[in-house]
Amino acid sequence: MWKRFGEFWVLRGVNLRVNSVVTLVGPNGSGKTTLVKIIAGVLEPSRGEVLVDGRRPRVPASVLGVVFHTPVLYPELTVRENLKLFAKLSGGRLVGCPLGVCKVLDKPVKALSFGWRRRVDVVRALLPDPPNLVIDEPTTGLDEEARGELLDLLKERGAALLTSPFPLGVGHEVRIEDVQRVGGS
Amino acid sequence: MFNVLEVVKADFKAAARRVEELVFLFVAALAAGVVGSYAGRYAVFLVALLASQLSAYLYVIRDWDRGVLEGLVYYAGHSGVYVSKLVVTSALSTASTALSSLFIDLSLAPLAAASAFLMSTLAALAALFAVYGGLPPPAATAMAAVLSLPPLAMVVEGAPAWLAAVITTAIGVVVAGLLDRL
Repeated sequence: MWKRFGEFWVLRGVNLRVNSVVTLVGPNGSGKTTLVKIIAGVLEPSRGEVLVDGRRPRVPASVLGVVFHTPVLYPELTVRENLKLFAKLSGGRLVGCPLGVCKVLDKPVKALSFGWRRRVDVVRALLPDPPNLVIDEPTTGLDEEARGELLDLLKERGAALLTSPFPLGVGHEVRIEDVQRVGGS
Repeated sequence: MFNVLEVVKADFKAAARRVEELVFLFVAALAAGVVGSYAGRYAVFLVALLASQLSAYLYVIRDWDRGVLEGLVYYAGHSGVYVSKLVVTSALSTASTALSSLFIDLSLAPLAAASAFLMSTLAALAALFAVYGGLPPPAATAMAAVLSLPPLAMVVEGAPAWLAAVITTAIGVVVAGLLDRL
């Protein structure tokens, strides 16, 4: 897969197959977030394609849970209202109290700290229990307890692609420059 | 379609809770109405342009800055997001323009509301281009104004507003769908 913004190539021939938990490690500006957006279908690649379970999903939310770099929640709605909305959109439901979100269900998202927003956003992506998961920098903003719980949860997944500027100690670690045809940006 | 309805409901609920922005929009339309009342009755169309641009900025561009749009595109696609934003921005700009016409010329209120709706259908699209397609905001404003002129002229010359609205909405949906190809 290749991606260009204007004259600048952000991704240059990325070739990656994910069938287990993989952490893609790369420095800031190496194209990790762009790659996540392309996998989610929010951005189109300049060349190449993304296949999930062998095909390009039209509405990917049910087969591919994605956590973007910025939480995608409505700040004015409560956590409960957000989760209810995204459960309807993706065909899932909240089971149990993952990452402790029950403590903040009736708070508006804008009243939460970044760490809590991040927790709620991860839970949002997990609502339909998608068989595949993509998380852009999963530990950003999380405290030690939430980080541990999330990483434990990820270790149990069949397939997940995580991106991070440093090794997370989860799954197979791959450096982004090692999966590009032309070295890192 | 189901996803789009859910997003529209959520967009309205969130917009209703953004009180500061609602007050800002309606006060701006009110002030434009008072000032416009000295500039002649057709100033109401300039108020419609102002209201549509403000709504598009507040409810499309700011939502992009806050990260909300990215998620909505992921769940509802560009066309779904466009339709949802069109409903919210056009409802608010139509209401605020109708309010300003109280000060300018009440008999022009239906026409002014129709023109605000038409301009909003394209202002929402232009705002999506600005945030997603990389179109500079002034160019997005110009695009909205230019594209909305033919249907606006149709309405002023007596064609039914709904026909012009169908045309502008169809343009918006098709072009928003093309955003996926950028």
